[in-house]
Amino acid sequence: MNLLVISAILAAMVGMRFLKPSMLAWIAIWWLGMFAILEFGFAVPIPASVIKIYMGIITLSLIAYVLTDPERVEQVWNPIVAFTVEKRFQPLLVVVGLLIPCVVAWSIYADMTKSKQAPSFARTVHPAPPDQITVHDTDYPLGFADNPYRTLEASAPEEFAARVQAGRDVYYSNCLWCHGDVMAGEGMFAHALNPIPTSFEDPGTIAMLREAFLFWRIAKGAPGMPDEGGPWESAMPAWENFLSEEEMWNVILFLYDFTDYKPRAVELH
Amino acid sequence: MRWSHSSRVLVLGIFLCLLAGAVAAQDGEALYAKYCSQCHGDSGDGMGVAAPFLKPAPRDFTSGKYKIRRTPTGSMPLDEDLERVIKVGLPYTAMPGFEKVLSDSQVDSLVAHLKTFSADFEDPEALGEPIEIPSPPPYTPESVERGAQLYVETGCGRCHGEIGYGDGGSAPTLVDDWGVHIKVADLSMPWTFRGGGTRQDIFRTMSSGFNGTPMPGFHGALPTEDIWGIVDYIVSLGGGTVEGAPEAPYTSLLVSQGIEDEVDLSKGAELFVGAQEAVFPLVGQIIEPGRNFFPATTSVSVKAVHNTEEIAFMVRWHDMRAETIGINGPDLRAPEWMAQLDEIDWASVPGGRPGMTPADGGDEGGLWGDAEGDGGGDDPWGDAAADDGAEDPWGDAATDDGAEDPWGDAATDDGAEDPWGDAAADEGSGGDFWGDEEGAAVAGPTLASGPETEFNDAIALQFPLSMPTGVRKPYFLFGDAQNAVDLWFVDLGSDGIQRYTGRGSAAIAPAEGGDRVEIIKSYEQGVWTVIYKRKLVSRSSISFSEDSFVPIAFSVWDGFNRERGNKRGLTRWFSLYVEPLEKPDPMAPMLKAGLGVLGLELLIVFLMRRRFGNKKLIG
Amino acid sequence: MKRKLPPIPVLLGVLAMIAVIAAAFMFRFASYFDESLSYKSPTRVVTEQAETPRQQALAEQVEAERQAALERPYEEAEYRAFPRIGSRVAIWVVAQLHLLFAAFVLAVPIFAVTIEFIGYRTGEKRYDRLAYEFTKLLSVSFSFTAALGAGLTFMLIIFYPKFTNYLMSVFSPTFLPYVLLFFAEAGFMYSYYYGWGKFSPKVHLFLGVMLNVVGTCIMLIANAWLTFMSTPSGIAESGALISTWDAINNYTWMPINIHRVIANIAYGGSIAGAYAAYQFLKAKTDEERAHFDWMGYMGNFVAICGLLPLPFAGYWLASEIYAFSQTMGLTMMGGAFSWLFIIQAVLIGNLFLFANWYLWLGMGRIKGAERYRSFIWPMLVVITICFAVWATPRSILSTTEEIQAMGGSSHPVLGYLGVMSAKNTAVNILILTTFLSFVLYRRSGKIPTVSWAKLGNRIQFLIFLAAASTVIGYGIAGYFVDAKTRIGFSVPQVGSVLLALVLVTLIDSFLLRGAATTETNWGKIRPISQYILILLAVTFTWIMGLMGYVRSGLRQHWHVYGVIRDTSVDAYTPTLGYATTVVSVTVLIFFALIGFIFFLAGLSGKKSFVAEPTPEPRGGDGTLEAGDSPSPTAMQV
Repeated sequence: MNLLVISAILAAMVGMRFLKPSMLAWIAIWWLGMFAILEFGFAVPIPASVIKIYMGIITLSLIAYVLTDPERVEQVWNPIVAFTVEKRFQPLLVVVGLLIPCVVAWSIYADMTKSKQAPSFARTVHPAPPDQITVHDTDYPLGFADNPYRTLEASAPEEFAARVQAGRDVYYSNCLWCHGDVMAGEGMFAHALNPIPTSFEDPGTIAMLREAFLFWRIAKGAPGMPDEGGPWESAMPAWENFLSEEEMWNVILFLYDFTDYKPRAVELH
Repeated sequence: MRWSHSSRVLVLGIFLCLLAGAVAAQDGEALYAKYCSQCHGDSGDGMGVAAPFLKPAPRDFTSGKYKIRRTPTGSMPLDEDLERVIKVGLPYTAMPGFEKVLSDSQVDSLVAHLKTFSADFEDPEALGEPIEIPSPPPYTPESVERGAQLYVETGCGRCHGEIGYGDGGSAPTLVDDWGVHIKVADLSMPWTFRGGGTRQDIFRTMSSGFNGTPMPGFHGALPTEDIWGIVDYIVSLGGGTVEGAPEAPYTSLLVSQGIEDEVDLSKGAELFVGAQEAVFPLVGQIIEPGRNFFPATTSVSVKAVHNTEEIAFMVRWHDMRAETIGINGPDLRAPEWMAQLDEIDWASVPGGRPGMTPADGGDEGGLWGDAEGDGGGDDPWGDAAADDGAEDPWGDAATDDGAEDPWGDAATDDGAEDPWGDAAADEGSGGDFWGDEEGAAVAGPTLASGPETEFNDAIALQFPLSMPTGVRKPYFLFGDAQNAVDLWFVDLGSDGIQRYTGRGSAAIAPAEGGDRVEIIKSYEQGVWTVIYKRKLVSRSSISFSEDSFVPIAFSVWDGFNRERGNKRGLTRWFSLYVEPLEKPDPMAPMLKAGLGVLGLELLIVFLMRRRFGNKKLIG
Repeated sequence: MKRKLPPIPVLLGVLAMIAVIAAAFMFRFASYFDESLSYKSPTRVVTEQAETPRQQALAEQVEAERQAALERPYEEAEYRAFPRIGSRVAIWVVAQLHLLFAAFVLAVPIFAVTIEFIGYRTGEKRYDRLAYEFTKLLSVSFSFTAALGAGLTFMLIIFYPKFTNYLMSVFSPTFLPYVLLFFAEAGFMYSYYYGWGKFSPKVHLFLGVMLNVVGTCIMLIANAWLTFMSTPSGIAESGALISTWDAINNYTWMPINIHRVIANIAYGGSIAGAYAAYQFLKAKTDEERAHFDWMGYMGNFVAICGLLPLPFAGYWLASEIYAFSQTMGLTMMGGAFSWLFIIQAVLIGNLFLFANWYLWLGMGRIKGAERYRSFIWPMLVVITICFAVWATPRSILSTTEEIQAMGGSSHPVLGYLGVMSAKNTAVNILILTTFLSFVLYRRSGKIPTVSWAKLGNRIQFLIFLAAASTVIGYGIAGYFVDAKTRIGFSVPQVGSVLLALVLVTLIDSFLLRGAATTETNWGKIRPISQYILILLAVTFTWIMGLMGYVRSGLRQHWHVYGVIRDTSVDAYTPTLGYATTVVSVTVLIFFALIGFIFFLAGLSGKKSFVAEPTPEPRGGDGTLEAGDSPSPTAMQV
């Protein structure tokens, strides 16, 4: 968030109050103000698709605001009628009437001549796993499988800590290059990859997933994903080629330990 | 009242700061254990669990050698230097910036903890006088020009290359105090500078040098304005970003420009003058066996043009040295990394695992012989620079050796021309660390031509074998069983091009038949240029049709880094947009939409006036 | 409103029928047209000729084919194809239409009987008439439901014979009771409808209740079949039946039952509201307008009552699906179908906004509502913000550059709004605000006269505040706990909202006892409100279509999940755009048909409609007293 920009826009909107604008002008000011906040008020820009959703909601709300009160309707409607009908506005009407087609034409021109953008693939970040996977000849029913060492946390804290430590070693000699030192997905190779490596600090990743899901994604990597996950461009290796099952379960323990998240539990009917 | 109130707040604030500081200092050890020890080792010796995979190797804090400092060569860094590195990290190394995760007080406590690893921090003699970085003079063409002159006079080019592309004559032979080859900075890519890419950063690096590496500090050796001159020349090499830190110009789209002329390869780079340059980042292939944790190449620059018949690609990348007398191929077997590490008997390697031993000035030689012997001491150039106080800090060394390559002799003394291949072979350990276990068997005696390796530089362009119909593309690592890729592989040591069809990293076969791809290649000033040409349309492989997006990816092999097969630098899929030769004229749609809107407006106004207006107006 | 509005739904209905007949005609005679265009020699007349060798060979070929046909062994077909659009889309559209009508037919009796009962207890004629007005919509809808159901059955047997056969073998004991219940349903429905005013009220009410009971039983049986397809149980791994009861009582059966009953009420209310709006816009007299305004209000009231608990029933269903199969759960919420939930979120947000908007517009007809005018815009702001949060996608559709800038598919700021904590909070606040709108609406026509009015108001305000703070507090805390606890947090959030709903209503009922009632001008509402009612109905229908597709599509390449694999040509998940198009077309067809029903229902009402005398004013009695008199004339206590 760029608080400076947001407060500047809000201040400008408050300042407008002193000019006593008409209802129509107010609606325009609100619309533009909200748009400006969404477009410029954030340090990391909001994607166009979301801005469209938000502006749609805001437009609907502004219409609702006007239409719930007959007075407001008149305040908005009368100037529009006057503008199109009254003689004193005739020159302005001509100007606006010509300007709008020009703007439309210009936007079409801009659209046709703008520089191309590489097509993007709306990939599903957490695609659905298969019901069962086989890793090193062991079958794992993903719906029920759980980290075999998770229970050690309560029963044998020392062994658990040793496993976390072992997982840490696995992480830093395998995962570091992409997922980074602090699990934020900012490893030294991350800048060249698309999809970029998952940040485990993000509350929407391991914090809402079950350990069996992580096990699947680690063991089978990109090639094991269904098509909606975009297996052809993800750089996640199938770690079953490099690691033992134990190592993979250990590294999962480490991920949760480092980030302080708790895995989603298996829900039984 | 007011005074006493604010002073109370002040006192309270100070107290809280002190308290926080005290707590943080205790945190130092715990923070180190959580965030640092994986690479730098529990005892600060740089032998953490990740260390074998990292190059440059993690800092050995016990050695007291710190590269990035604001103090003279050989001195210990200031607290602020350590803080800076912890916060922003070292670009293009495994050292990340911890700015987002650690608070200032936590960084302070970490710094306090780091200083406990080396007694040198207590030694008043080791603490140098901080170098003041003056506010920079204006960046002017004159200053750049002067810098260019100084660059030559000072001999920067011997390592950094004539125009700074990291291809200096001695670049292949440089090693650090631990005896490990160290890659010289490519001055045209300031975003990769370890010490940062702003003018002040470069000034600091120029002044203080990098302890433990061949990079000397020029503080006191060159007048300040001369240093600024060289700094400005370096800035100009990197694109001339004067304000702030330069950013890597990476893009994700390659636009092929339509041209009317013939696609004439003999024109070389001239052909691509009008085309847009796309720079794509490269990283090591670490997904399939034969992993490459430190690729030599960080990016490729690509341009493309086409006419109605043909399309041409020009790919350029920087390479320290052209390796052209060996072999290479995408299907060569690269050894498995883990297996290789385990197979090496480290105990028998003098100096142990490279990068993991506290250095002792190279007196014992280390894996690469007694390379630094001539220089003597921790800092082989320290004296030279100081003595001469002058233009050429290498003057002595170079003159003494009578060669451009100060290590040439040293290597020869060892009875081997190839300090990498042979030394390893001699040791009988099977362990050219940066190469592979094959090194012992293949390298060395069979290669008598100086410090060449047995693998050539190579490049491959990768396209899907046929245009993907849906969203699905071939796997970006040489395709998959269902979706094949077409590899335009050029072994820069041999003639022409070999096309391969990839159906996965383990299933690469020479392509059968298909369309002819012509190439020309050249190596100049540290830059490889390879130009490809092919017909737009092909029956057996991908066709480049106008106004379409074609997936494109690249692989680069650096022979010096002993890259081959899966051990390579690669990119993800990018897009190639083939611009239509005749761009659609926006005039007609513009007119249509404009007039349509105008008509709609007239209708609205007409209806409004009929409904609300007075008759007079309408007439 | 002077000009007569063209009955658009009527036109649409007629047009649709003409189109169907024309299509059938074209289909039948397509071959004829084809042949008529083929070349025929204008000069030569075909005469009897001796057989040439070619003709002989052709004749032999025909004979051989005939022989082969005679000897062909009987083969059981697995699938047959529906021409052009394919079997899946055909079944999809017909099943969806059947379901939409069935939902309406099941829902209307529920609130018709309820309203009739209120009329019976209070003795007010207008309730009775309203119930009758609702019931009028039933008979034609019932026939449509039956016809579509028969069509669906035949199509299943024709196009998916093997699968249908399996389903019938598993559920064989349920089909005959189903048919019998259907008979009973028809009997109760027509006696309820035609017997209006002819039976004694108690008997008539009994008929209505039975109609509901039978209707619900029918739904329970049908739900068993379709939930079995998604979450089968009671069968062996081979698919062999072990226990029919277990097959019926599978994971999602009960959640679907509950979800459907509630959703049907909401949906039925909205359709009835749309009918009232249609009649309002068509109305010529103030009396008619007053009546249909009130009816629309009641329909909307029913719809909102159904809408409020719906998200919770939906959560239950989703969690059961997740419990049955993690794969299915992830496909639904994070996988191929997650984008539909974004559309759903936007549509549900729209529902809330429209519903509130309608209430605010409704305040225009009440004298004394001006005091609450100033509450509207803050509520609008709250709804807008909650709507925006509710509609914020978790993984955002974005270009490569945007992804690079965001450092991932989730935005560093918006990412916090896309997760469950934020969404739960938003939807709970939406519900609270909608309830507040409703409370204010009720208030606007009344002035409390009890001595503790001020205190009561304050307590109610505090309850709202407490509920809102609980919801927001837990929402924020949800960011700092693990997933399981976070899911657990939704219980106190929902609990506090429900508690607030109950407490405020309770206090209201005492507070407004004997309150002074101000003037309500039924029918004096801006016409825009009626379009909102229609939009509400369309939105409801659309959501039902989309979510129904999600529930059904989750099986992906299975007919019966994990048991009977779909090996037909349609065994793939259609793209989002394609699915949305099919659903939208279905919704259009439905509204064309329902427009026709509205038209018919309007015909039957026309003759008999006479303005009734103003009903007696009542004191507020705190029961389901949602609106005021439909009289256009002023009343004062």
